[in-house]
Amino acid sequence: MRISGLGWDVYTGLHPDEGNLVRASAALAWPGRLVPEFHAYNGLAVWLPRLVAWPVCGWDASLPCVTGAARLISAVLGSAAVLVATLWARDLAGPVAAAAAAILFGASAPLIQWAHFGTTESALILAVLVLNWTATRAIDGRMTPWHAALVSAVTLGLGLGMKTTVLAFAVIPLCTLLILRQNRARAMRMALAGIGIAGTLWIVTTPAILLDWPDWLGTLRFENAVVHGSADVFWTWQFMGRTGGLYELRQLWGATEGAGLVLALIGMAWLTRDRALLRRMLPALVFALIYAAIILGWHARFFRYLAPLFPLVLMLAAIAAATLWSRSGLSSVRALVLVALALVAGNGLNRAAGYLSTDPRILAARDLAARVLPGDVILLEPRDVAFAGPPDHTATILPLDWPLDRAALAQTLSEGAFMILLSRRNWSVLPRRPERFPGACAYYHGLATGRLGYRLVARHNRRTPLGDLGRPGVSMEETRVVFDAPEVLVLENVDRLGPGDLAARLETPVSGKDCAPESLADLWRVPK
Amino acid sequence: MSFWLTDPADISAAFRWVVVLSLSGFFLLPLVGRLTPDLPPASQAILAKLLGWLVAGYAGWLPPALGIGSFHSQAGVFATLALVGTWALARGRVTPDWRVLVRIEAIFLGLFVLGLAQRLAIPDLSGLEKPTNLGFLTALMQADTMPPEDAWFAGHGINYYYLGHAAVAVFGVLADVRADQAYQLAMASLFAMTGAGVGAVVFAVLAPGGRRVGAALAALAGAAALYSGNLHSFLYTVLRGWMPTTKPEFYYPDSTRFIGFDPETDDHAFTEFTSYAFKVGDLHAHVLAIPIFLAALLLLYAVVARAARGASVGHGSALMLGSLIGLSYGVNAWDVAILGIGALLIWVGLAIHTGRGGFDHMAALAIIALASAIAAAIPFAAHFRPFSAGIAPAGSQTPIWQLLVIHAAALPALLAIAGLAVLRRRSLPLLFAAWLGLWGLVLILLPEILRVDDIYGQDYARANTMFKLTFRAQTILLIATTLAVGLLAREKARASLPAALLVLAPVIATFAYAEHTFQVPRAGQSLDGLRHLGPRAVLADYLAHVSWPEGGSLIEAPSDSFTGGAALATASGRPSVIGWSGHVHLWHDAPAASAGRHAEIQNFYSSATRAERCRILRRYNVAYIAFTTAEQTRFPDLRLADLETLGYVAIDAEGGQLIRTVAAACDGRTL
Repeated sequence: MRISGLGWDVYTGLHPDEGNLVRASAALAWPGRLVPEFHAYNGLAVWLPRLVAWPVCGWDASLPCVTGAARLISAVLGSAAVLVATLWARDLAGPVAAAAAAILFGASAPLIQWAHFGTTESALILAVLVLNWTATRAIDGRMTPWHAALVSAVTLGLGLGMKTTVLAFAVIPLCTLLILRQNRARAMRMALAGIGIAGTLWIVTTPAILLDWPDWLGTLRFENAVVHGSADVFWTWQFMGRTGGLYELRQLWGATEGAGLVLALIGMAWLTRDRALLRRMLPALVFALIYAAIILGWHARFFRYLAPLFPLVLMLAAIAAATLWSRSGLSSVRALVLVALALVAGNGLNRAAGYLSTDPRILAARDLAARVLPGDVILLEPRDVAFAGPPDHTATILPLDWPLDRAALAQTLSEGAFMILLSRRNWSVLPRRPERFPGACAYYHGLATGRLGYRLVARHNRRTPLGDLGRPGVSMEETRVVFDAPEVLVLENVDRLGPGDLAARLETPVSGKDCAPESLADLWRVPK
Repeated sequence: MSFWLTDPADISAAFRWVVVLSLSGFFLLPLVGRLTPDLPPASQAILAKLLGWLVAGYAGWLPPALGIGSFHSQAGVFATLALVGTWALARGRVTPDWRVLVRIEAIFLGLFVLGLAQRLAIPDLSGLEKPTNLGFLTALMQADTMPPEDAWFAGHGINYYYLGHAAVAVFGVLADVRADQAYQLAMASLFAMTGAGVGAVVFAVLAPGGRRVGAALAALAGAAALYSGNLHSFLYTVLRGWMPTTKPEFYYPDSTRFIGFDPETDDHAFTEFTSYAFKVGDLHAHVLAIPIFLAALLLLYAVVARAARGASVGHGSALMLGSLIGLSYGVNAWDVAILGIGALLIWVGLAIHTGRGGFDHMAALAIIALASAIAAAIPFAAHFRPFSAGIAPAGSQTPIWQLLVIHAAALPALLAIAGLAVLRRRSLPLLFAAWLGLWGLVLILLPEILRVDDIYGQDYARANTMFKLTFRAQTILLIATTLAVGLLAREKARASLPAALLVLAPVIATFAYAEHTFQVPRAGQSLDGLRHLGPRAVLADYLAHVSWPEGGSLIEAPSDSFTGGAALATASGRPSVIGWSGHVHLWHDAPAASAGRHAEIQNFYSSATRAERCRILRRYNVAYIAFTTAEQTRFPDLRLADLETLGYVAIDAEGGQLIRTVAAACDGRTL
């Protein structure tokens, strides 16, 4: 489920974040550039794909090859995470919990998705799991404190080599140290040794910290400004007006098919009754609380920020499933547990199967090739991935900038023969905030209803067994679909309206309710 | 079969079909034996046939629906059936009664022959909904993945309850027959399954109390389901002079178009029944779902019988029942509600019967049934966009006298069942008959309270709801009536025999309708369902077999619903830009799109410039343009030369021409 379908976009790099990382990786040179110039990810995350690609594609590996290597690393680390989760569950609550954890982690749709991206989420999840498992084994006395400290330090160091976020994971070993009640001097020695090892590994894998400090720090500051909302970037516009906590809860609900979250809450309730289990999971809980408190304070609420919380959520669900299965003695409860696990597994399988089908952007390009006439102008939206359209055509980016220049937009619309909406990045975000993007509501409503003369002639999706039922809806954070499974809409300018007429139609008042993402999504679904 | 089918190819096709049908049922026998030990072997054999049809159909459809196989390679079907059979055998020995099996096969074959005779009396697949259903079937048999592309709405998958048609197509592929042949053979199969299935339920309930009476009443119930009408068909024929009517004479659909039609009011409702459905021969969703309905009925009886002897109802039964209900969603969604109500009534009864101690088990059964229903429905629901607007108050009510005219044949039986219950003659058959009576009444009364909101106008607002619910209610009440006759005949009281005859009398009376439905097999019949196309059949055949470009479509003259339009797309399964626009509007909930395409194609043939035509060709990726006698009649000013500039004549036949479009013809430089 993780290894298959890694070439879901024929390695053309349709995931922009991954694209940045891979380009930085491919730019590494020996002799020459040994320190990456891209610091949103740390050195190991950039170097590793290049090193893995080397034996197969040589030192001058092409971008697709490095992309493949980056994804392979994610897939392998993601698979290892399932194994570690299973072992952790076995240690925590026995073989039934291990089986439940294997299903829940193995078939979790978000974990499968992250395993298909050459980014670092799989590595982060693996790091959290290793740290938590180590903590449990140390608390159980199955691992000496020094051994545990060493494993934790190496994990933290390598994790920091991937992403600076891993700094927060240090809470897990530190909390374990407190639970183990070592004497102060010994604890201090262990902590210092751990910090030393982790820090050394971090610096070795990310020499930019020393060699390119201003740039590295600059990137960190920019990322900080982005997550706190002080930098106005389009990729965080989707979070405007979202309520912290509730939004994340909704994402978790959707990502675990509801059943996983309900089971996790039952698992949480069970922990209050089982003090011994609570003690063994305390480092995981404390980390989750602190980490959640940090990210809930941010303006940016990307789904991937929840990745380090997934190990705890899914583990609590596995414990709940095992407890209900073993202790309730009721066949109805067992049936419910099976249904819950089947829900998660079914959706995960569906997601995995989707990576074997053709990318919708590739389908759309083929579709357009059959439709366009030489000289036709194809209109594209700004702020989306590059689109390799058919040959013999002109591509124009729509002037969708604010304040909106309606006359310019009307002029561009009148010249277009086709329009392609590569994902919902714009239409599900801009009309929702009329105070920030005035005119977006009338524009997108006009497009969806055909009032602007454009008619939807094709919808392309990544084909999955569960079709629309298995796709995250518009209320889900956009990166759950826009990178790997966007819905691509192809529109044709059927009515060929003039700029004046279009400008007037762009002024048509439309109620906010009609521009809600759900309303627009419904409108797109009606054949035109 | 040669005594009435004369073409050796037809005989061979029918033979292959029957063999596939028999084999699929045969593989399911061990499973049925395990699930329903309380059914008599004859009923088990028929249940195996019903489930064989459904399992084979679903197993053939599911892989391409999930995107993991081609619809054309149906090798997995028998592998699945064999696997199910082997699994059941591995769980314990099941010894089939071979004599019973041979007898059932003979009965089934006899019914199949009668059913085929009825269908082939007017073999043309034109008129009413037959083109719709043929279009589904041809599209399915052309498709590789599911849902298939809609033959009447190019670029979009079929958005209708097509799963029953898919089962027919699976059998068509397995038996290697043409779509129109599959249509005829499927109607005959459904006819046989209906008669045998209704009989199997009656026999299962009554046989333990007396096999001969059970068998006789089973035969009567089966025959009534296939040939008799409702009470209207007796009252308005034999007793016509005494009935209030606004119509000069009886026409057989009158018994299904009575409420709101005679006298005419603004609340029209349909009250179709099985024999009428086979008479008109539409392979429509409610007919295709009959095997599911009857299989569920037999399984429900098996569940009740098992509980009645104190045994625990197995999870397998809940799984199978749930799966059948889930399957209904893709075949005929009305049956989800109908079977859901029936199963709920049984579940409540069993929960009361088992008491608090058995509640956990009953809850587990409910969860398993619900989960398996959802699991079975999901692969269809995943690619289906519901088009009804929800449930609304009925708005109108039927005059009671009209309800009685339609349904009163069951009234004496319901009174008898109530009487027997009052007399404390409690037995499993009585309990089952009472449950059927209650279920049937609920289905008759529901359209008086609620209706499903669809596209039909206010004067037909309840028509579809009443149609679908009472279609099943009439079969349910027919079975309940036959059971009541059996129960009364079994009573020792002196009045019981006259009472049984009194209950039986209305059922016998409804056989007045057999005059319109019964067909004797005649010599010289053919499975060919496309004769009505005349010389255009050659063009349809060409389209069906030509190598079709990916995503390509066909342009032919547009038409309103229930006309002869879109005949080539219907017969070939190749997607036309627009077929029957009213139907497309309903299925895709797309009034603007269907009307828009209709107008565009109308314009294409009548007044478009070459540039406009080119735009349309590009917009819909048109591969072929039809210029047949239909287009020539409809657009007399159109010349072949106008269209020839867009491509070349691929076939020139007596029925007209097909122009293969050429991309270069619409190159910007030549426009």
